[in-house]
Amino acid sequence: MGTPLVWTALSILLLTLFLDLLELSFGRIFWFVCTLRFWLYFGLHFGLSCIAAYLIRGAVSDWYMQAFVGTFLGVAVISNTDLKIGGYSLLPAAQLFLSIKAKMFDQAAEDKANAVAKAQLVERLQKLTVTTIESAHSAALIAAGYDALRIKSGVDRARSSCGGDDQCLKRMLIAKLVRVNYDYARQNVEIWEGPDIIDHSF
Amino acid sequence: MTETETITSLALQLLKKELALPLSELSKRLLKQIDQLESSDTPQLKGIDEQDITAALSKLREQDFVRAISAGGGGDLIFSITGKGLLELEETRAKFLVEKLGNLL
Repeated sequence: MGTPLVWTALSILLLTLFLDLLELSFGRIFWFVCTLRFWLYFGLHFGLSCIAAYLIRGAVSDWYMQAFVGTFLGVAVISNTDLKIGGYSLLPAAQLFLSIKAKMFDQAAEDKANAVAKAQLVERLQKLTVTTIESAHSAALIAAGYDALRIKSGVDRARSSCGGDDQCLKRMLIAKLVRVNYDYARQNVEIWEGPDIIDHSF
Repeated sequence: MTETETITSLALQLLKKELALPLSELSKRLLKQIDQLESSDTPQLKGIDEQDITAALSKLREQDFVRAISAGGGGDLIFSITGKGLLELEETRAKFLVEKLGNLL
């Protein structure tokens, strides 16, 4: 009696996990899996599928069919379908699932957009001269509360470790500048680039 | 579906898959998809250009279905899907499925 129950639960767990992962953007699956919202969503979905499998146990006797039907009933519920199990409408539960899913995607999309924006900013900063980057670096660090002497010694250290390679020095200063004061760099990059830039905004 | 509805639906689908894309990349990919669609049975999409895509994206932005950020002034805008946009997409998909199933039955 206990063994089929374990197999049903295990099958539901694996099928639910597979279907939930299938819904996500493939390139960001690892990112999603590392968020609390994904596990909350998955946990609720799994619980719901188990309840569905339990409620249909009278109609479906085979454990594997219970797992299969239960899981897909769970999917139907979270897809905002007005489904009734055991006479109860599960539409409010569907709204909850959709809300968690929407927040999960919102957070992931915002995170990726920020990462792309950061990469674009670095690309733009790399086109500037070393002198401009040095001055921007100092200003951004001072604004962030760094000590002037500490900034100077940091630049000197970077210069000596790069051994006269300007590109290397630029990369080191940009990395620090973006890490310490990203907002300042983003707000001022247009000024540092000078007046002859193309306006892509609309 | 009208021309704008098709573009906005394609843009939302692409952003759901990629989460966020710069405007230039998004336009390029959408135009490629539209080219592929044209070869089948969507004559209303003939002659779509980047300006039409920009207009459709502006509309999506107004409706809060996508958001746009930039890496400083003058940079390429980066578009990402919002939770509201995802819900809209799911609803459109559900409506489409119901419609297709209704036709089949």
